[in-house]
Parts: sequence; structure tokens; C-alpha cells
Amino acid sequence: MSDAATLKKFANEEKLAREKPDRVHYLHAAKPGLDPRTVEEISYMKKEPQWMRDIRLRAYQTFRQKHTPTWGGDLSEIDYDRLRYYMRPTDKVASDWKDVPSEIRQTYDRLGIPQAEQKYLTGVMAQYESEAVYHSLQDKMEKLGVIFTDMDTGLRKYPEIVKKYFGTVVPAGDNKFAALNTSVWSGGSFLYVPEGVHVTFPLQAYFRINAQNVGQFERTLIIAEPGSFVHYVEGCTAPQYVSSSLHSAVVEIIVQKGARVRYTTVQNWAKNVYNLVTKRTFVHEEGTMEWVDGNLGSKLTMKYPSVFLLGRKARGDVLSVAFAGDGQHQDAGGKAIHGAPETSSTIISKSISKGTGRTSYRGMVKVPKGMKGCKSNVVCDALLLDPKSRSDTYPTMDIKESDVHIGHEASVGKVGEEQLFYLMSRGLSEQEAMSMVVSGFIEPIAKELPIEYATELNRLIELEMEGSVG
Amino acid sequence: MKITKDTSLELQKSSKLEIAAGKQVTVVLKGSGNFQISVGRRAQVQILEMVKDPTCQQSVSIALAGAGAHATLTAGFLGHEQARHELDVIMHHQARATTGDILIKGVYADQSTGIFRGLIKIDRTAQQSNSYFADNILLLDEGKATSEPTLEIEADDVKASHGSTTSSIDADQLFYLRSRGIDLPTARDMITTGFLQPIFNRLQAV
Repeated sequence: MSDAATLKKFANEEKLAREKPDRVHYLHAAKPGLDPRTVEEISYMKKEPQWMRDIRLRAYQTFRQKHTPTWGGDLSEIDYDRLRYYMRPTDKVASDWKDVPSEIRQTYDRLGIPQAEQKYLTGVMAQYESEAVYHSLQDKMEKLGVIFTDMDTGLRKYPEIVKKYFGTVVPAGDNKFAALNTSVWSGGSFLYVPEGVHVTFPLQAYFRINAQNVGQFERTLIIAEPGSFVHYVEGCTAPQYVSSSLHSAVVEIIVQKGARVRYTTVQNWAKNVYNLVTKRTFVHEEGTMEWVDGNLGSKLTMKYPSVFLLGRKARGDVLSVAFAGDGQHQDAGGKAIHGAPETSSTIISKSISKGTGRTSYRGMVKVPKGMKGCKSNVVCDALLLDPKSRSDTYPTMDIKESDVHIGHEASVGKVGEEQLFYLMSRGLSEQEAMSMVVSGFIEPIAKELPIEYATELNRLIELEMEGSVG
Repeated sequence: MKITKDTSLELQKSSKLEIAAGKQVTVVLKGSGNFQISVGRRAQVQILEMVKDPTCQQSVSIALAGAGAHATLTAGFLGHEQARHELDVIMHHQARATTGDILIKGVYADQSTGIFRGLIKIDRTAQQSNSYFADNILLLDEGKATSEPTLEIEADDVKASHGSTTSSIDADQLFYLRSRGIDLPTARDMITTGFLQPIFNRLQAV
């Protein structure tokens, strides 16, 4: 299709979309299905440089060649030909809240974004469908030289930084879903923290899936230059809809010498979403990476935040909590690859299965030969609330060096009857007692979350726990 | 082979055992092989081994088939030079109120390798079961080890846990022994022997 014909087609689609009342006007909605032309269209619509288009097309070929993983959850129901790969609700990224289209603003009001945008939580950037539409930064951030924007703007304004790091941490060939994301990515966050800068407030990004059959393929790139610190927070909610949807993000983080990055995310996708995410960090000398990860929603989540410890004394932590209700499968965990001596890692995973829910911990600790003085500790605890619930633990420790300290413990059980009895003897109902024990169980992770996320997490778990007794 | 009386026996090659209800049996494993042991109602089995061979490839599958069945596996491994040991254990809880306890201790010196996979599987029919898996590895010189303890739990009123450690000899312990006039090789031997002592104790009791 020639450019002129393509544009004409889009103009028609746009006109059609505008005629439908009470709907978000999608300026461009790629037709369902994926072929090289769709990939080129996405790149064309975004006016991307040739090198990015080439990366996308190469990744598309990789995606076609790679097999779907046979381990983990059941992925057989994903129909790649029924998904839409690109959608853009508004033509340009709004810099002022008032410029954001009203129907999108209403949706955000329901999500409570303005309340979240308080004194300490300034850098709010919201994502609706596939692209960031609202994004605000305080002047002092700009003065510090911190770049916090959506990925598309990042690519347009800072192509040299993006070109240098894009796909270096998670290459397209890493797995099928990383390849898919690389070929059709859209939106996500781009965060650059210059040397020695400490960002004292958490940076937040809200995003959500809204229309039926929309795949979300964000691409997030975070670069923390030597000695810097940043806390990035990402949370998402999605409304309920019928047919299965796919969320496949890639998050790449580079922690330079002595820098520290904390990445907090709580996902609460609708219970028909496949959430297949590749998250990885390269941590250089004396750097610290902390993943705090909450998984509550989705039909199936497969997510293993990883730390590659590449410099002496680098440190990586993964804290994760998962809740699987009826029909859900949370296959989560963490990986630590000790690629340098004297590196240390901690992975703490807590999971709760209720009804027919299934939680799995899948992890990997690797110490190659010669990496002396490495330390790693992995703890996974699982609670089973119903006779139909299921919990699995699949950790792997591959140690090729003798001068190390590696520990792992896991336990699976149910809420202790003595605990329930004690609380009930103090006048709590069985329901309240159960909720309290579960809250206590996830407390070590909840306390690491920003306060409003911790509250939200506790509230969501309380909601999920309703009707779990008797 | 069906065991219908209290006994103690030694298995040297791949074999299938079925332990009748209520019997108490001690099994000592020798060498490589595929061992399948099914434990009947309220029967108890104690499986023991101490492996020092240059190569050993074992797969031990324990089925706790009858209510109240109990099994323990106590295994010590000592690897030198190019030794390579591989052990797959499955503790499969199929019936109510069954208990399992696995203890593996391995020492790998020189260029030796140990690979340990342990699966605790609790079926939906095996409520009130309790299972534990522990593997402790001591690495010396250029020894290598892989541990894959896994859990698959489908019943809720159960306890299942595992613990796994991999480390080298604590420098403080070595220093203490040497400050008492003990030379390095002897000190290392003492610590290694101490590490494996719980296994020797159980073996001697047979």
C-alpha cells in the first residue's frame, strides 16, 4: 500500500470512529493480525527513524521463528491473528491536564489519578491504550536533567540514548514475547537519571487496557547513571471484558556504577488478560537494583524480574507477592545471575492461592566459576486457602564456584488453626481473622510499597478474600 | 518385589519395591539405578545411602500410597577429582496423613559435580500430609553443584517445605582449628566429617 493510500485509509477510519458516540476516537487502529506490513505501518505512523524500523522488522522474523514456551502456564489459547497491535487515542502527547480528551479524563478520575498526584508524587504520566496521553513533570526535575517521558517521545527527542541502550538488556531473540514486543512496541516509559542525581519522590506511571482485544506492548527503558537514585512506580488496572487479551511488556534497566534503582509495580489486569512480561536489569559495580512486584490480576502471568550482577559488589533484590483467585495462574519468581565476584542477591516471594487459583514460583540463581564471595538467599512461602488451590515451587540453583553462600527455603501450608482460633477468641469473626492472617503474611512486601499502593494492595486482597470462609 | 515382613535389605541395581501395610523396612541403596518404592498403609520405610563412587546416577521414586505411610531418605555424597553424582528424588504423597523427610548432604572437592533434583508432590487426595526436603552442599576447591528442589502441592491442609544451602567452609572455623595447631588438610577433613556426621549416625544405626 502506498503512503498516500495508507493515509487515506486512516483518514476514513478516523472519520468512522468519530461518528460513533460515547467512544474514544481511535485515530489509528491497526487491523487485527500481525504481518510485516502491520509492523511497517506502526513504524510509519510513529515517524520513526529507519534503524528502529529495521529493528522491528528483524524482531518480527524472530517472533515467527521462536516457539511458544512449553513450560509455565497454558498459552495455547492466544490467537495472534485476532489481536490488534497498535492503537492511538489522541494525536499528540498532552502536556497539560486540560488538553487531555474528556472521556479519557473521566476514566482517570475513576482511577483516582488526580488524588495520586500529590506533593511527593509529582511525575505522573498516564497511559491510555497504547500511548501516553498525559504527562507532567515538575520544573525542578527538568533542572536536575532527569528525563521522564513516554518511550515514543524518548525515541524522537533522544534518539542517541535510545539507540545506545535499546535491546541491549533484553534482545529481541531472548524469547518469543520479547521478540513480539520489539516488533510492535508502543508507549512505555523512558527514564534517564544523570550522574549523581537523587530523585527524592517516586515517579509514577499509570496505564490501562481499555478496548476489547487490544494488546499492550509497552517498552520501558530506565538508565541510572553513576551514583544516581530513582524509584519508579508502575501500577495498572483494567476493566473487565470478554475475549482474551495479551499484555507483553519489556522493561530494560541499566544501573551504572554505584547507582540504585527501585522499580515497584502492582498489576491488577482483568481476569482474561495474558500478562507475559520480560523484565531485566544490568547492575554494574556497587550498584543496587530492587524489584518490588505485586501480581493480583490477569488470567495467566509469567513474569520473572531478573538481575544480572555485572560488577563487583553489585546487589539485586526481588520482592514479589502473588494472589491467584478462581481460574487464575500466577507463574512468577525472580532470577539472579552473579556475573561478578562479591555480588549478592535476595529473592523473597509470597503467594496466596484461593479457590481454583494456582501460584508457581519459578526462579534461578546462577554463579559461574570464578565469581568468588557471592551470596544469595531465596525464600518462598505459599498459602493455600482452599482444597482446590494449587501451589508449585521450581527454584534452580546452579553453582559452579565453591567460595559462595547460597541458601534457599520454601514452605507451603494453610492458615494455622491455632492462629484463627486465637483471633476468634478475641472476638473477630472467622472472615476478619482470615483477612488479618493473610495481611500479616504479605506484610513484609506490603511495607516496601509506597503507602497508597500498600493500602490498595490490602484493600484488593480483602476484596478477594470476601466469601472465602464458609 | 513385595515385602511382607519387617526387614532390612540392600539394593544394588534398578528395582521396584512394594512395602505391605504396617511393615517397617530399612533399605540401603548401593550405586546407580532406578529405584521405585511404594509404601502401603501405615508402613514405614527408611532409605539410606552413602555415595563415594566416581560416578553415580540415581533416580529414587517414593510413592506414599497408603494412608499414614511414612518414608525417610538420608543420603550422603562425597565427590573427589572428576566425580559426578546425579540424584533425582520424587516423594509422591498419594494418600491421607502421609509423611516424608528427605535429607541430602553432599561434599564436592577437586573438580567434582553434584546435581540434585527433589520433587515433593502432594495429590489432592493426600490431605494432612507433611513433607520436608533439605539439601546441604559443601563445595571445596573447584567443586560444582546444582540444586533443584521443587514442590507441587494440590492439597491445602498440608505442610510442605524445603531448604537448600550451598557454601564453602567458613574461614573462621578453619582459622580456629589451625590456631589450635591442626594443619590445613586435617582441619578440612574434620570439618567435612562433621558436616556428614548426621548421615554416618543414621547409617551406623542400621
